[in-house]
Order: sequence, then structure tokens, then C-alpha cells
Amino acid sequence: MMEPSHLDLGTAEEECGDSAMGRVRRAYGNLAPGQRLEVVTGVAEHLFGIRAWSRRVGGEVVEERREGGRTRLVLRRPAPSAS
Amino acid sequence: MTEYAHPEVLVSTEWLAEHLEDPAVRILEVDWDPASAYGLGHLPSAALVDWKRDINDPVRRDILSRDQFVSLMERLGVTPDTTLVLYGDMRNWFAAFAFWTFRIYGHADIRLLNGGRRKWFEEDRPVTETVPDFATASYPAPEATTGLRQFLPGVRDILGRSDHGLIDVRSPAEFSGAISTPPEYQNEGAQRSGHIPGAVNIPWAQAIQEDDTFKPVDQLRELYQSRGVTPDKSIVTYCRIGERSAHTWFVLTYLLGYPRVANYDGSWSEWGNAVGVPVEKPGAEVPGSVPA
Repeated sequence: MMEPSHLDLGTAEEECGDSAMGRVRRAYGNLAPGQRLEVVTGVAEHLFGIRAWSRRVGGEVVEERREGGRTRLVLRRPAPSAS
Repeated sequence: MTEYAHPEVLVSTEWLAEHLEDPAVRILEVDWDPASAYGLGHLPSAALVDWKRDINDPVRRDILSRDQFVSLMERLGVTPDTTLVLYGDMRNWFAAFAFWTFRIYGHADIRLLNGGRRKWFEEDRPVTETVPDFATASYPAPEATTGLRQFLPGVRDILGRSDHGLIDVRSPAEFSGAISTPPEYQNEGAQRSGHIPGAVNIPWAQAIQEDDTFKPVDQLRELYQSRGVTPDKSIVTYCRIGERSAHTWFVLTYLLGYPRVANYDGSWSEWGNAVGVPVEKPGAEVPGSVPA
């Protein structure tokens, strides 16, 4: 299985760049179906947003683990269902 | 610990949790990116203020007009007696900008949620996707207060004056000119990078703690006064579009009680594009100069 793309939200917003969720959306948008995105953050607001947004776009949270005050959350972009 | 100069402009998450249904209080979430914040979940009974749509003129570059302000207040069911509690995405920058704007139009009782969305979510307090519906109110047209805002000619006039202070609240990389504008903000780009001559760089985030609440007053006083930003001077804050600098304007005005602080909302996206204004950029080569 391919290693997931990695996104650390630790310094999000410091330079008035994209919002944390904006960065997640952008990184997720670059995934091919079946690929995974690993997001690391210590901010509960980010986690709430990622989970809620993922539900809306049909993404899957395949892993969520707390590690030393931060949470590692892995999203998977689902493969399109056969019709 | 000494208290803030105007502690009444801050509310805690505990206070707000007890006033979620208070009819005298209107809770407003001010977002730059509502789809990534308010739209995914917000405080119960909070209404959305979309920074781009509601706080700015839709055509020219300016804050909302007096008539637009009145319309906004009336749509939100706000009267001049309503207590406004503001919080929002991007660590309260845009809430602070709204605070500044609403103060320009003279709304009396405005408060900022100390710690904002980040602290509310950290404490696992209730969140909803339900959008409240308020009956339209009547809001008489106010007079605008002019002293809270600075424009480019006014900034140019104070360059080099010892009775004025300029604070650039952007990141050190932006201040030095190493970066100008993140690629995702193309409409905030500048022709030149660097900073306004004489400005001191005190990034906005140095005023807050890990949980986004403001630092104690003693630490704030030390932070600014050690860099020459003292209350005897007229202070101008700026950043790139005026929202991070609204946060620092709030700190200096209400937490430290500085009497003359103005926010230059044109900020670097105006100054860095203006023809003929001086720019300081350490280490930059000057065309025509001979290298040593």
C-alpha cells in the first residue's frame, strides 16, 4: 500500500496563508481515488472541521490516533463506485 | 496581576456558554472562509457574518458603508442596545476586524470571545449546524468615527516622526521581504516586498497564548513597550489587508488602553503596490549601486 500524503497543520495560518481546512481541502483534492492523506494537528477545531468536511464529501477517516498531544488522522479518498 | 484596561470587551467561553439564549446578546461568527468554519459547525444561536460579503464594500476596496452597516445590523436583528459577541475563523482575526469596523460605526457594546473558536472546540462545548433566524430590527444610521482608521497619505505623513509608532504585525518573513503574498491569495499580491520604513515587527500572534486567549496584561505591556510602542505615541498598525492588524489594534486599544491607535487597513497590499512610497528591505540590492 502506498504511503499516505502528509500534512502537518502545526503552522497553519501564521502567515495569513490558507486556512487549515483550506490546506486539507487542497491536499485531499490532489489525491487519486483510493489514495490516503495523513493530517497531523493538535487543534480540536481542526479535527472537528476535518471530520465534518470529510463526511460531507464522502471521504473516509480510516485511522485516528492521539500521539503526544497531537492527533494523526488518515483520510482516504474513496474509489468511484461502479454503476 | 493587573487587569486589562477595558476588560468588559472580552468574554470567556464560560460566560458565553451561560448567555447562548440571552436575547440581549447576539453572537456573531465572523469568517473569512465560512464553508470551512461556520458551515461545518458553529456555536449555538450564532449567526454568520461573512467577512468578504458583509464587512466589505462589494465593488470598491473599502469597509462596508454606513448604509450597508445599518442593513447588516437590521438583518441580524441587532439594535444599538444589543451586546455583540464576536468570534470567528483564522484565530479571531476577522472577528477583530469586524469589531474595529463596528466600532467605527459607533456600536456601543461589542465584545470578543477570548480564545475564539479554537478554545470553544478545545473545551468540547456544544456546536450546531442549525442557522438561527432573527426578526429584523431597526437600527438608526450612526455617524462614523474617523480616528480608528489610517489611510496611506496619513501613514506617509508620520514617517520618521518620533511621536508616532508603526507596527507591522506580519510574520518576520513577510516583514523582511523574503515573502510577499502566499500563492492562494493572488488578489492580495504586492509589486514590492519589505516593510514601511521605521516600522517595528511585532507579529500579531505574540499577543496570544497557546489556547488563543490573550496574554496577561503585564506580558503584553512588556511586549510592546520593549519595542518602543508606548502609549504616549500615536500608533498605527498594519499587516497585509488589515485583519491581523485589527487584532493588534484591539490589544493596544482595549487591553492596554493606548489612547491613539489606528488601523491602516490598506496595509501592505496597498503600500507595496503604491508608486513612489519608500520601502525598507534589508539586504536588498539598489539598482545602480556598486557592490562593496
